Amino acid sequence: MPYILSIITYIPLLAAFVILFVPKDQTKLIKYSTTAVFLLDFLLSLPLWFGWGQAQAAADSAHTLWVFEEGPFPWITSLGASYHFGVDGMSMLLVLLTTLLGVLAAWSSWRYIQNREKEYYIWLLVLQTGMLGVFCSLDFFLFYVFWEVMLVPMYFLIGIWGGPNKLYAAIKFFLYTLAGSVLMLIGILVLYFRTPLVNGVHSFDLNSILALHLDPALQWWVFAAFFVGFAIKVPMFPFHTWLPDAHVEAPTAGSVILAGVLLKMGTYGFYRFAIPILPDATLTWLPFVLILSIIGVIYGAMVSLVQKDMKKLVAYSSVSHLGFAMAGMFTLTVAGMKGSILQMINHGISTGGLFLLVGIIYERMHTREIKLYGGLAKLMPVYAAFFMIITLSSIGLPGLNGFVGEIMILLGAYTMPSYLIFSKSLLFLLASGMLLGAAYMLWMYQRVFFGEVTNPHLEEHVKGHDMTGRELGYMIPLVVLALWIGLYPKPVLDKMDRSVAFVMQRLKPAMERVEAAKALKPPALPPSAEAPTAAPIPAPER
Amino acid sequence: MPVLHPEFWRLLSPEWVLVCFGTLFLLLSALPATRGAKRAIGVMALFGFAVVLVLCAQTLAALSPGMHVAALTGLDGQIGLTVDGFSQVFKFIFVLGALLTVLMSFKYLDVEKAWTGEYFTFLTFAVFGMMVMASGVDLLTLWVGLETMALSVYVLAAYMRRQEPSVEGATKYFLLGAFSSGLYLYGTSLIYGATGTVQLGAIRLALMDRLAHGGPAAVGFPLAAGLVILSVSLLFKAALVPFHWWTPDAYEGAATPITAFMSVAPKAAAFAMLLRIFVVGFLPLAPMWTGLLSLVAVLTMAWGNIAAMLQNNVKRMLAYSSIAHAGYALVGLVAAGRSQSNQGIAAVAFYLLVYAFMNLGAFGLVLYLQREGSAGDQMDDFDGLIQRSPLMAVLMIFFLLSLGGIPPMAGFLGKLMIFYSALDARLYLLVVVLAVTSVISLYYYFRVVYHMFLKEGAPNLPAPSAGRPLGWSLALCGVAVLAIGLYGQPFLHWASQAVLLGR
Repeated sequence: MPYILSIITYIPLLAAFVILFVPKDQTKLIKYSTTAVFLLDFLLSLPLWFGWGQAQAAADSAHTLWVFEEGPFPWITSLGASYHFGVDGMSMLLVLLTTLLGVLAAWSSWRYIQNREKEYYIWLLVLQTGMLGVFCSLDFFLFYVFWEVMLVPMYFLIGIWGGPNKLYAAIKFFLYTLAGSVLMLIGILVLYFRTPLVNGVHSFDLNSILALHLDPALQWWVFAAFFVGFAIKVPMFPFHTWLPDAHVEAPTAGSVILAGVLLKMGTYGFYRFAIPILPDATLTWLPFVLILSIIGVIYGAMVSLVQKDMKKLVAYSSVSHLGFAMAGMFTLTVAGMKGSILQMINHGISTGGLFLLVGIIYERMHTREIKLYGGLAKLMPVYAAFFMIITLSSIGLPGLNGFVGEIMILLGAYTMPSYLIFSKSLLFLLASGMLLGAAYMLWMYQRVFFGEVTNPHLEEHVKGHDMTGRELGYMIPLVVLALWIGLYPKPVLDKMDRSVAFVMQRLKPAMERVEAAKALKPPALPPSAEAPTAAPIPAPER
Repeated sequence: MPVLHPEFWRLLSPEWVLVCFGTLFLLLSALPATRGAKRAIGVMALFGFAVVLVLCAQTLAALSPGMHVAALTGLDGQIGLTVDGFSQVFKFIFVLGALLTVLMSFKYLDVEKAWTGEYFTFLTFAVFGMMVMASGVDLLTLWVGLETMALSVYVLAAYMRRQEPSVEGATKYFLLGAFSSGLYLYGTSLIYGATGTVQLGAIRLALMDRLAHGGPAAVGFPLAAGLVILSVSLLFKAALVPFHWWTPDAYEGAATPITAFMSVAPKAAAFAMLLRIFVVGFLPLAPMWTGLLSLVAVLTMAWGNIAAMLQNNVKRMLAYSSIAHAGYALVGLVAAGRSQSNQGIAAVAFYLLVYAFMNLGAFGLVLYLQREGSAGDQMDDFDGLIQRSPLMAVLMIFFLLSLGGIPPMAGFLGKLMIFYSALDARLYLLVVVLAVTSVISLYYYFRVVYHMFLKEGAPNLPAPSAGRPLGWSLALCGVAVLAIGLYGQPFLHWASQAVLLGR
């Protein structure tokens, strides 16, 4: 299907526009039709997966990384912005994750959202378009437009339908991420000004920016700008403070999308832009990024351990999991990067699932306080089983998806070239994150599900109200995916081959230079015309 | 003696058609008439501005690229008035602002029962003064334009003469405005004494001559002092920090449509004049004045945004926000002085066009909420607007996002053009300040969003009514803000015609 990416991206926006004209008391019509639109969008995105082999072959014969490419079509010609869509294996997986979680988010909101339904579903649809647009854009201008478009619906989702402290959480989320993206915009513009003039204008196109030869000092600054923008989104350790607020206050579907998709924007940005465009700066920044990731892994896990609120616990576990994904990416090995991408998907499945599960019990009890629960397994056996599977997926039990991602990241850390970082043993701290992860998740599980029922309300509100058909309906796909990726991840991993190979190839000249410099050998002659300067990377000036 | 262009009457048609309309309104308003007849003057004003808008577009199209026409001679026999791409682009912005203001005035004048013919007369003459400010190329012609505009706007600011805040704000505006006009003349006299001319092109030649012979030291104290004094008076007119103190009071006190007009058109006119004087006349001294104006830009962006955070009155908040926006535009002016390209001027022109739509739209929403006994300018008036009139709430979101520079709204493209020109001129510090203060600005714009969407309104409030003219103007602003944001190419091309020759 031609223009499939645009179709997938704009269907939700179109639906939002149509729903604008539906009277707001038609809540049933609105929620059913919105969910149907999300389902349609998901079904339309399936050909990306099933038609991948063929499309990839076509892209190979055209010598391009981008599959299902659209454009570039001229858009704002006097600025050199174009309409250019396309995906590679990595972003295709994220597109699928987004369309899937969209269905689940809409479906899970049917009972949770009881006021202003029309606005709610409209914002959900607009948000979906923003997220899909980010993953599909190959033009920096277009990318930035979608990137900012995401902020506004999320502000409303948290601000209108959130918990008691929603106003603070909403504006904090908004301003925090906006501050990062504005700095990122300056970085983008600096790159833009380096592109050659064609008909008197520079270009925002990713391909022309990838073709630049940037000197390492400039790369260092641009990386700094990108780092702030993306690290806030991830969120990496010192920039994570918006996340617990936003997660705890957001409605269930908001948390699912926030954790499942929005946090991937940061890691996506590093993988798609920062690393391939700025390979020299990547190597300079690598120890710093790795240390922050490791701090994030351990800190997130430790803070999770002491949480009293289930949702907050899951929120902090995201800091830990995303730290893992960042560390995997910055091992700069094939295994580490693939593991990192897989971990992004896994986090979407398992943390998205956990938020949905917490939402299910919250709808019954209207509390998430761990100590008010206990013995839930007796009252809701099916729920307990689902919670167990997703918990195990989150802590990386072999046979489930989390294990594959984590083991690949550890493998990447083990095989990482030692010249890249001063002490490789540091990376083994990552393994402690896995251990702590098991601790906080299982401890919470124990406190909530085992033991005697101590809270009399629990019996009253929950007994006989195990998961409904609708709730089973949106949890089963996640469990199936967790099992499938855990048992047979090869089809997923294979899709990433070209994408990871491309990033590795971009990094290669810079890595060779660093290796040569570290070995105190005279620098090797440039391997190709692509790397005319073989100078060692100077220390960045501060 | 310069030769006038044979077609200069045609090229000056926006001016003289406007003056004809203004005179007509003046005569008509002298007649004793009913309210219906006064209203007819408003309809005629609408028609008049629409005609002049078309004439502005036509004369711009009639100029071949880079053409520059001497239209009238000034006092000393040199060229005093010129018609070029720059002047026509700016005239278009003024007339557009006035047209939207007239549309928005209908509801206000109805509710306040304040219809008079003079209202439209002064609006017309104010716009005429602005046109001279955009076209003038000698300091005295420019001054005549400036005073024509300023006197008309003083009267308009005091239009609600029985309301104390209106009179108070207008008095402050008038006293400080008169003072700054005096400064302007004093600065001009010093410059005339030093260079022997008031014509901008001649001033520039004189400056180049001096710099070539004596280096920077040869500029001399009188000339430098003249330039600084002249700048102060223009900074006052454009309401830039630290010469902005009159703005919040004058804006809060004036009739809302007049406030909207004052925040857009006279500001754009002051920028046209600043650009013409600095980029044509004083370009040889660019290293000197760009430093000074950079400082002013930083102060303006920072103070405008910080002060706006503290306001509870939406008109006052928009007043401070308009100060901040003038700071953004000033970055484009500094870029124009630093760089050889035309980017900075085009960026300022484009920004002011976008700003006209989004700022008039935001003030239009205040007018929409106006009802008998309430100006509709308190934050609380916006409570729960999404429930009462969803369409208007969505329009307001468009305007606020655009003012904050969030894509896909036009304001983003406007700020991007300023970024572009500033990075092109390597003004990294200004770019960072602009970026950071933009983030701050979202905080107070989102306070309004918070009141509209997140707070429940009082249950017994009736849905406000717009009335047709206000509804049209809001729809036009909303469509423009979205359309320019999504496909800005034609508008960017239009702004790039604002070329200043002789640089």
